[in-house]
Amino acid sequence: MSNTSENPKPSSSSAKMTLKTSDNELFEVEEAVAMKFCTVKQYFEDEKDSDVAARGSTTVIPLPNVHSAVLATLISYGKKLPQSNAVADNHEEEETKKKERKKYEQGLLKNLMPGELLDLISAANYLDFKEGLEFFNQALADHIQNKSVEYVRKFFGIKNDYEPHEEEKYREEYAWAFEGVDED
Amino acid sequence: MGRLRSYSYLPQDLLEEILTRLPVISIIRFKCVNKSWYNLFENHTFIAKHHRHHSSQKNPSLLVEVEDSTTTPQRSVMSLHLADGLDSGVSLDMPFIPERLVYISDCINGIICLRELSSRLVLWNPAVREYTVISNPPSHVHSPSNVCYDYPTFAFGYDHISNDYKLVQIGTYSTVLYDLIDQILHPVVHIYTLSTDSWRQIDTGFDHSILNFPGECSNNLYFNGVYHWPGCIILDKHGRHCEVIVCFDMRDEVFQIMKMPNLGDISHIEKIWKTAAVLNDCAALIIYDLKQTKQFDIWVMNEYGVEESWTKKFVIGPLIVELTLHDQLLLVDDKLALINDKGHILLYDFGAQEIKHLQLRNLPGSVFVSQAITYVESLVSVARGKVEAKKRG
Repeated sequence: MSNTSENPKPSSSSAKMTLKTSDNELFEVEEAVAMKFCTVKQYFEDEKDSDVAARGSTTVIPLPNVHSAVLATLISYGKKLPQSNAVADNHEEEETKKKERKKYEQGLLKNLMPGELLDLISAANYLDFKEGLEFFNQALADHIQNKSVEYVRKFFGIKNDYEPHEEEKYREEYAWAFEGVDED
Repeated sequence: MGRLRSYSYLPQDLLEEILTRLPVISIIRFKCVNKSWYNLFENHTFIAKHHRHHSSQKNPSLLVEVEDSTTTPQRSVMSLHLADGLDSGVSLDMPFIPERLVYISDCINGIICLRELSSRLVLWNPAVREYTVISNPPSHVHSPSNVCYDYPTFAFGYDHISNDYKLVQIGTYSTVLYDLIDQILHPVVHIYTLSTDSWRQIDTGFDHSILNFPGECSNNLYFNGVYHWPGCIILDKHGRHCEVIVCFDMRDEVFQIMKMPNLGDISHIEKIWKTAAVLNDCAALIIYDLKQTKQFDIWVMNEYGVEESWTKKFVIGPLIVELTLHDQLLLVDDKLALINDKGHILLYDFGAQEIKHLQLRNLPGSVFVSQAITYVESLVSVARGKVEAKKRG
């Protein structure tokens, strides 16, 4: 799952950079993917030197707020995104790629526990990874959409501050919104 | 793999981002989670953000009026998604049983205005299942000579400055009465405002008589806070007239005229069926010549308000089916939907340049479909005179 960089080999394709997680694991990531994490991008742009390739293979960027398991998933998702410098496809190729991505996304979500979604969202927010945040926000919304009120309270750790009769009245008035809800 | 950190706390802005993605029915249910969530969901800013998000999704819905003589009630309104292949219709819960609907407005911020044959006017938000009946405007006493105004026409719109909804009733003429006119008769306009729940008559200072207002046809368009429809204005007493796009600005409450694109030398202009629509955020006109029934043109106004910017962007055809005046033509995102009265939907995808044929499922042969509009749900309340959000605490 994670890569530890030993002796970084000079890369003839795109530059790579190394990210270090909260549990001290090292991830070697291609620049194109790492730059989708705007926090990482900012880290680089803050530096005065301009030689990315040379620095990329030696500098380790610390991400103290991100655990390795979470980063692995975000990197994996980042790799599957259409690259900004890719050649424009014709309509058919675009449709095929879209379908492939959808399949990948469905597979990814199937293997995630709901609690992990919150970790991924938090990490994507910290890394300022817009596409990742979009995707996992939507995934979480899809997950809770048909859940009961009790499930949502438990999931977000929210305390119910309604009086029982208040809640009862609301549920009666809007009974149609409480039908067909997933079992807890 | 379980949670790696305790997350009883998610930053408020992140939580809101997630919640704006929920469908309305889930939000109604989750108002019950706690008082803070209730207040959030009643907040105008959240409601606007929620609607904006859902409007931007590439998952258009249509609302169609359906009449089935074999069921009770006979009339219903169904909602359906046009997303790839999924074309099942779901009947909407209507809190009232409508008679024949002679007018269904465009959906604005999730709200639809309905006018029944009996003249009852209703504002309806299907997603939150709220509706309010609007009293009719005072009948006009102001009627020059012996000429009566024809059936009134309605335009439903939104004033974004005052955050208020308006319904405009316009008195106009049909072509039959036109022959009897030897003077310019100005349109009589009444405006209803939701926040005050009242009607007022306005003097628009509009110099021309207007014919061929939409009435029962769905060829009008609400766009940029302005109500548009292809119409005909009488220029002078000699009967010279001109095909134009008549506009009514909901904010300033004034009429304007926009020139039609140059359609060339058409001798039978009244046989040309025009529908205003929106394509890629630009005003567009779908022009269908009844004399050449196999194709239609789409003109786009690349720069809104600049008449020279009308460009013929697409010619679609030849079509396998013939269009009739009873068909609905809609632009839904980047697709053109043609809905005939049997509930068959032809979808033309501009990107793929192909025509897909969908059919509303579960519709037996006794069904008649009319009046389709694009629809995006919202949380906006139509309770009369409601200005402040309800708060609980």
